[in-house]
Amino acid sequence: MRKILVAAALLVAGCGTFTPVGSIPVDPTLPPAAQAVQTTINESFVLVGASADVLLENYNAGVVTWDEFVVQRGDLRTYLRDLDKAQGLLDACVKQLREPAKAGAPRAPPCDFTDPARQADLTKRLATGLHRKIAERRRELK
Amino acid sequence: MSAVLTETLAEKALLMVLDAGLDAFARGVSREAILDTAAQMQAAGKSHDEINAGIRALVGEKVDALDKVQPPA
Repeated sequence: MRKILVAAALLVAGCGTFTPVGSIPVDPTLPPAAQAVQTTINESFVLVGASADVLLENYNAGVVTWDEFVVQRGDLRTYLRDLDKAQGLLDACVKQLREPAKAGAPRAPPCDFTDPARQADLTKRLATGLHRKIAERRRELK
Repeated sequence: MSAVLTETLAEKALLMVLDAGLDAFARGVSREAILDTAAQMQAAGKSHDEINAGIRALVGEKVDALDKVQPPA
């Protein structure tokens, strides 16, 4: 029994270790701070996507109730909306940096990517917490 | 007694590794699908904005699929 567990653990841990660790390509012409925010947003999309997949499996397998499913589905939808907001803030910041100021127009304060970074980081934390919760229920399938 | 306890703890540790691996694997499967999409779009010459939009659309579809789930009868 123990030998089987060791072999299975090594196999699955290996699968977890050797899954692709590449990231979604980010525009290299963006300032480093913007690239970091975009990476956080992209990683959060991966988390939300994975959570949606596993939540569906959990519900179809009967390990979550309908009420739990509805709540977690609502959370995923909220995080998706929050990521859209972070992306919008990031895009606005990048646009401000790239477009020359119009002559005579009042100059907006320079964007330092703090707002999109804060939004993206918060959403990633929340999405990570939900993903862990959903993944824990998935273990009940075994 | 202590040998049995040690063996039980070892089995529990192995099960935890198994669980963590499965969790990472589940995330890896979703990540791989998204990375494949991004790689295909990049190879097709899509801009980064288009790639971001493509990823957003893919994840949006996964969440939308949850809306199609029927409540229990």
